[in-house]
Amino acid sequence: MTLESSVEFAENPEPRCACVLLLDTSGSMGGAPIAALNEGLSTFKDALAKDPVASKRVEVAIVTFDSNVRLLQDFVTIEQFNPPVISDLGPATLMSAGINMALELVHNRKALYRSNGVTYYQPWIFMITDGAPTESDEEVRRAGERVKEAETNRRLSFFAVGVERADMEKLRSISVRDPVKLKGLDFKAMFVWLSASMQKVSASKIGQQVPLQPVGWGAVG
Amino acid sequence: MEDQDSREEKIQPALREIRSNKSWRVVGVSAPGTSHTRLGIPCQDSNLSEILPSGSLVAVVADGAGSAAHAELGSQLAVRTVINEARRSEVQLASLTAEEPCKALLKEWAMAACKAIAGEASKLDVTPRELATTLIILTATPRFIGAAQIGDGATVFRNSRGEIRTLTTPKLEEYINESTFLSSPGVEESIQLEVWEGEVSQVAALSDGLQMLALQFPGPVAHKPFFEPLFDFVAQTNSTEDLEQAVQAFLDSQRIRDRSDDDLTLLLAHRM
Repeated sequence: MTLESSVEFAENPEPRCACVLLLDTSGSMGGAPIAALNEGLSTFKDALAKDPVASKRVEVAIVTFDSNVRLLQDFVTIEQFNPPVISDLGPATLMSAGINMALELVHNRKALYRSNGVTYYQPWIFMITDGAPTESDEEVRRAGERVKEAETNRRLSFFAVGVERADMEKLRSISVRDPVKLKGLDFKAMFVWLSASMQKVSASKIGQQVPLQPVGWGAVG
Repeated sequence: MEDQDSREEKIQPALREIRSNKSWRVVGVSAPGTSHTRLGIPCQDSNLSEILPSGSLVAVVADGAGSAAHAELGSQLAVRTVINEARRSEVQLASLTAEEPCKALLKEWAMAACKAIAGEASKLDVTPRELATTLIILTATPRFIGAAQIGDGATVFRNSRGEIRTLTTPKLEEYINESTFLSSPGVEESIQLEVWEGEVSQVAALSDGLQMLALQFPGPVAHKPFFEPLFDFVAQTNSTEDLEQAVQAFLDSQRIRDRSDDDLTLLLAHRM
């Protein structure tokens, strides 16, 4: 009997890589932008589904914000993710409220991981907006501070992407990282980048920091 | 000034070390990960062991950081330095009777490895981070076993009552893709030091490539069905060649490679 046949392995849960997609579903996203975004979500799923390791490790949640903030998709592994087709748009852009929900979602997910003995990579929040928050300056400022605090304490990585007439200045004040202006409506390229990034993170060996892929789909800053 | 080659040769330990005298039988194998082979990167794990004249065993495992330019150099230098330190302090080791002095000695050896890394980095005109490596030191005297660990991996033992326990384990950072290395700031305060007094039959040391298969998380605890066959094997196999071949084949097996693409090191020792 060889060692290969006699030694049994411990069963440990796969480490998780949580990614929150925080999406602007205000009226101005109607038409071409939301159609391209929906297609992008499918691209994201398809790209990651090709990698058996990433499929089990990457977990995605979707939060949308317009005049309401909605948890459109609670965390689910890529294996089980059925990309929704977003069609309901609302007036207003409650971006700060959306950010707050995303931050809380990440916080709670980590607590769940810990209480279940699941190891995890640093979570990402990926925000896409085509406008500006319609909340008070004070609320927006506070949301920005929460993001900054979370980043400073290395609790997560926050990325902001501006589309079309997005207020890049505002995004710069909220996000610690330089926001990226999407080239046209090339959500597909953006989601290919995001899936490749998630794939690299979820494959990274213990001790290895993962440098970000170059951003070909937008202008940084 | 010695040239690059002779210096490399001096700090090039064998990837497989087999020692056997009447006190301990040891086998240690380091095998490159499939991800390394695919990218043309050499094995960055190292292991080295020695049975000192007094009959004490010293075994060392090091795992070079994938992101370090001179990772394999760092891990080789670390294991070689510790064995040299152990040889120098052999008398001290043999005369230890208490836990604290044992921990202090292990810590000294670990810090000597840190210093060696820093020194070599300086010679190469790079930061110590470019030689970053984890370090596991395992020592066994007739009275006790002791381990020092910086970073991930684990040491496990089976005592004379047949119980299998961990000695040192990975202290996972919050994020699974982060680790502590010899080159990390504040490393001195984060060295894990453990001593277990009593009769030990077998010991094992492994680098992080095997830890998810060998340990049950959370805890973690040693997975008994992983270690039992291995400890039985090293206890029952006399031929050093058989030992080495079997462990190599085990590490190269499909079952293992399907679950881990990392460098793998497994070191086993049996008290005779």
